[in-house]
Amino acid sequence: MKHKKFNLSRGVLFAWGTSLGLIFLFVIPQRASNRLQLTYASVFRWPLAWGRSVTLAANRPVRPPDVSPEEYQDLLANDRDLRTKVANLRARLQDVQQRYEQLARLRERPGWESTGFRQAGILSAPDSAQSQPVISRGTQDGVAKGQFVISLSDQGAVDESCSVIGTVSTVGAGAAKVLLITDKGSQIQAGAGALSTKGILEGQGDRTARILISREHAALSVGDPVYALKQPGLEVPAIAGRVASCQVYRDNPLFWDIRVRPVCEVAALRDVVVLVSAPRPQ
Amino acid sequence: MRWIRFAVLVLLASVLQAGPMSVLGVGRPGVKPDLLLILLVFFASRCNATNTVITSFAIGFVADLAAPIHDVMGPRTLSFGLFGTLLFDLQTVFSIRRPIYQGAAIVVMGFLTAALSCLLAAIRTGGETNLAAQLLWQPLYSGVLGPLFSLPAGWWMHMNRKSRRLYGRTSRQKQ
Repeated sequence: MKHKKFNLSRGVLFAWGTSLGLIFLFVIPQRASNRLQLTYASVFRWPLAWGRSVTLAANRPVRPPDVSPEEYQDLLANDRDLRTKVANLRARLQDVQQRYEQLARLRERPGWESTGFRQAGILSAPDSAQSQPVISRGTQDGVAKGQFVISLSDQGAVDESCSVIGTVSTVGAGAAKVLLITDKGSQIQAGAGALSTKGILEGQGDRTARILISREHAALSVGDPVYALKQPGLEVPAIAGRVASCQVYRDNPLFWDIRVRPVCEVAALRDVVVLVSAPRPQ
Repeated sequence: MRWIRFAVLVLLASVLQAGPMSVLGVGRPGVKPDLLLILLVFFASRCNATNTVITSFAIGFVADLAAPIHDVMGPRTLSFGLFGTLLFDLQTVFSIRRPIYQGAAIVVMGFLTAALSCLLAAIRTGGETNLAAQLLWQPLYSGVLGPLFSLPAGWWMHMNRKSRRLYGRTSRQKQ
């Protein structure tokens, strides 16, 4: 019986191959492609595993002749442990350096040279159930009730990276709670715009604060800065928030009802700084 | 053309590529010679037109299975098929049977196939690839070692004769 051969032209074969490639590239879903690749890997599991073991064996350092295999394994294990510890220490060093640089930048600000800083980590961030964040510094670190707490982050513009977020409300030996400027009960002296419009910034408990300003002053625009003014515990004015809305106060039309949103999102903060130079009188 | 031997050779190359070739890895990203690229040039330089098309697409398909770019199937099938076929046509201009020319052809083919594969994979996924390793170092490395790998491949495929006659059925034999 004569063996029949298929005679396909080169052009037809090329068209078939190109079509196959295009179908795999654009038509067949990624899941099916992954399954095909996994099938290949499972079919050739043994040679692939053998190849991997050969590679690992080839890359393994050669044991010196005067060291026994047990000693060599111990040394390798110690080497791995030491490498892990060194990597962890290096990460910690980088973290400390980063914090140090942030504090150094804070000290370079005009007016804050004589202020004492205590850097603190946020142990529990504020949420819907617990509004006051807990920080990792307490009385043993010089933290006292009423001291101002400012953010320490790279959020926002350069001038806003250190904004007033609240005051210390409760202090323990090694931890303290922070009353945010938006929490109910928070009251700090504040100025808006060009600092000529002054008032008391009161927290509203809905992630905003309110400041009432006489309508003798011009209305503020959305986005205008609101500063915590110089007062006991705060040597220089520092930004606290930005105007979210400015309307006539319903209860007394002689005042502007200005709603303020804090500059930084406290939930996203990792570290804060407590100004420990002088506690704010309550 | 001995197709069973071809299949065994290509699959063996893909398995070696995934594992033991890492021993020859150089530099930080672990650049290693691309055996499938070497085979592509090897078969394009020795087979006739029809067999070159088949082997190019087949090697590209296996490359997509064994070492896909961004886990996408298709880019290497297309690039190997296209440039393998073009390489065969270029042999009417110059022969790539000599080791130096073969090495140069591997380097050029490596650039072209990697560029097209990365482009096609990027069109499909939008991902980025280490282009320096893919486009430059791997083809160079493959080009240096390629002619050495061609010798055992030729022995296995019975394609080591010195004449320039191509393997596979010619047009005269068809008649």
